[in-house]
Amino acid sequence: MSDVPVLKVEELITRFGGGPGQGVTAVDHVSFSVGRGETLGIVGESGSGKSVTAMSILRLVPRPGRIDGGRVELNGVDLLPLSEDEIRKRRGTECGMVFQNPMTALNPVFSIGWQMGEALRAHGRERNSSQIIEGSLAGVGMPDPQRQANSFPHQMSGGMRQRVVIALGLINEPQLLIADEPTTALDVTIQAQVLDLMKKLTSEKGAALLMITHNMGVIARMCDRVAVMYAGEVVEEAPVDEIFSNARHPYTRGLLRSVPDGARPLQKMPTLPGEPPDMSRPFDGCRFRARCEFADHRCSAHPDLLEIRPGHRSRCWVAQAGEEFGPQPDSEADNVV
Amino acid sequence: MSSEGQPLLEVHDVKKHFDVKSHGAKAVLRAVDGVSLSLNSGETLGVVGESGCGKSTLARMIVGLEKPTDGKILMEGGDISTPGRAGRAYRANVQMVFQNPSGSMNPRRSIGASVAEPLQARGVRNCREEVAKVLARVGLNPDFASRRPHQLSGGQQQRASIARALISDPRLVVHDEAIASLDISLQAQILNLLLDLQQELGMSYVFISHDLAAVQIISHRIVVMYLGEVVEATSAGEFARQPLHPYSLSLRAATLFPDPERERNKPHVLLKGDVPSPLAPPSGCRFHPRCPLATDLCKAEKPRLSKIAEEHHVACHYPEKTPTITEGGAGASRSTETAREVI
Ligand SMILES: Nc1ncnc2c1ncn2[C@@H]1O[C@H](COP(=O)(O)OP(=O)(O)OP(=O)(O)O)[C@@H](O)[C@H]1O
Ligand SMILES: Nc1ncnc2c1ncn2[C@@H]1O[C@H](COP(=O)(O)OP(=O)(O)OP(=O)(O)O)[C@@H](O)[C@H]1O
Ligand code: SF4
Ligand SMILES: [Mg+2]
Ligand SMILES: [Mg+2]
Repeated sequence: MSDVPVLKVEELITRFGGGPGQGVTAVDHVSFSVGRGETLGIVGESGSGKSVTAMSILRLVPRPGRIDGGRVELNGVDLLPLSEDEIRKRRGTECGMVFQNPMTALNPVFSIGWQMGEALRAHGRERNSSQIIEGSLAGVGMPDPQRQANSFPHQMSGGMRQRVVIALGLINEPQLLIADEPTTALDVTIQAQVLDLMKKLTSEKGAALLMITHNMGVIARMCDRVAVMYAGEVVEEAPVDEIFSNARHPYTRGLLRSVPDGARPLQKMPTLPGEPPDMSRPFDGCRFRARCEFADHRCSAHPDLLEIRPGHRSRCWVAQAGEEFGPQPDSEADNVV
Repeated sequence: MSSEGQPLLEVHDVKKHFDVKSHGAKAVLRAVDGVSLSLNSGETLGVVGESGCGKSTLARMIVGLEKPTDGKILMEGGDISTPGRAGRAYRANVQMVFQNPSGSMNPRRSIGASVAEPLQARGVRNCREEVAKVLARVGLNPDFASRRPHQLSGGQQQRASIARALISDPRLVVHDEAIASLDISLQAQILNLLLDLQQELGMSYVFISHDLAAVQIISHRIVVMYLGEVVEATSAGEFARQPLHPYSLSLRAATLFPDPERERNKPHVLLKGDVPSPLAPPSGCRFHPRCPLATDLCKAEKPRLSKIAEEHHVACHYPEKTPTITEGGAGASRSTETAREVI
């Protein structure tokens, strides 16, 4: 194994609209890396820049968005300066993507089979394509794969479309798979099957997996490390067990408190207090400050993302000073305080 | 007004069959195949089930977007398909949050305009304040009212659709996988909001979701669907304690826990067999090819949805053989405490 990670994102900045001081910095100096056979989970606030990060890696940011800085290295090669042609060649083979909204990834006017065939053709795999297509549809738990290859996106249920998009992302066995909320529309038994398939890609083919999800069960099952995003920044990154048992950022801890517990029917659940951040205004100090129960005078300065122990980074003054947050509610037994 | 004891919504043996092509020949796809259920005012009915089992199709029939092939849907005793006033009154009182936010957000209109629509349909002219209020309640910055859907993240769009469904204080809201795309703090915030609105206004919900824990939190009763049919219907408390249909149990077994150690050590049991086709549903019990308890009887004879306890109906020949859920076992509830206070 070489030391070069499959994916290395460094100080990535992606903005939407506006001149200096205007618009939204959706991704703000984001850095992380994913090695061979490794799965990095990204969790975080809705609107914190997870999908835009994923799209930036593949250079698929929609207008008026633009990448304003940083590096995205795939197997040691920076993708950002590449020509449109060169990047297109890498999508699909080197890097597969499962988009959050299946409808944007599928073309409504072509059959599923045609679209999957197109992905194969783009990489010179015409031979036996209908067998490959049926096999990969069966692999994601699609009933009647032969018939489904001839159907159109609108004839499918939400979860079926999502499975098609997953099959598309996996069909060329990419070295890096970026999966953005891949299982939200799937029932848990199909979810288990699909997750196993992705695990196989990482464990058998040594691919790297970047898994964006709100589902803490999926994170627990799949990930080696987890990066937590808030307001465009990574605020914490740590091995998965550390995140669940010893989170070192108040946002992560607040988030974990809200994991639903089915044993408390019709009872209100703890949520993060306060308003979501307004990304269109400049921030002053720690971006989580207004909602943070630990905030003090230090927090009016913007904290960096620093290593607080080996492999564990946090963007919080309190954590960086080595101070305690108090016991973390056990995510297993009683996550309601 | 509803008379005492009359359910708000009654679904009677409803079917939806689609004509499709299979290998060049015409075929009938039984998306929903004889579903009955009822919902009282101020109550939430959770619907769970395999992907593709007909939940969204059922939801679309309940809100009147799709016509049943067979069967009846009644609101306060009146058939919703009645043309004219009764039908219109029904549609004004029913809203739906779609699985995919593009179902309710017009890409060419501002968020504010889409959210205001149900209020405007009732003749309310100036809705700006109402829009700002409802956006804030779903955790969106009221400034988003002027944005277009594509300028929002997936979860932000979904919250806008929820705001749209709630703005006109409808009697019944059908939530189709409405919160899965939100971060968990927002999921909790929306569930809390739904509980509040139910208490304040007596709203009723049909809550479709793959997240068993969320369904157990919000629901009074839960139905489990498999391949177009209801296979189990019970109270949320009973479902948390001991579901009895083997398919319900496999759902519980596949539920993932926010606990890496437990997930690493848990054997990952996959349901055996292929996902069956709604074009050619298996004989007898539709679950039999994948069921660990299946016998010849299950192959030959379809089990009826029968009452086996107060408020507990199961369509299985051997409900007494279902393995008991033990503490820390396959359950979606993370503690054994399931005592439940109905508000
Ligand atoms: N086309 C656009 N124009 C302006 N702002 C945009 C556009 N697309 C995204 N944004 C903004 O960028 C930010 C990041 O969006 P992104 O889709 O990455 O969020 P996310 O973390 O994936 O959230 P979710 O969990 O809800 O999917 C959001 O605040 C969003 O409003
Ligand atoms: N317009 C249509 N034409 C043909 N078949 C359809 C149509 N709409 C739905 N179906 C089929 O009906 C079945 C039920 O679909 P439905 O969307 O109701 O499932 P679901 O339970 O909501 O699934 P999911 O959990 O994946 O959203 C599926 O087999 C689907 O392919
Ligand atoms: S730096 Fe301060 S405000 Fe930010 S998370 Fe830490 S304690 Fe809270
Ligand atoms: Mg997203
Ligand atoms: Mg659906």
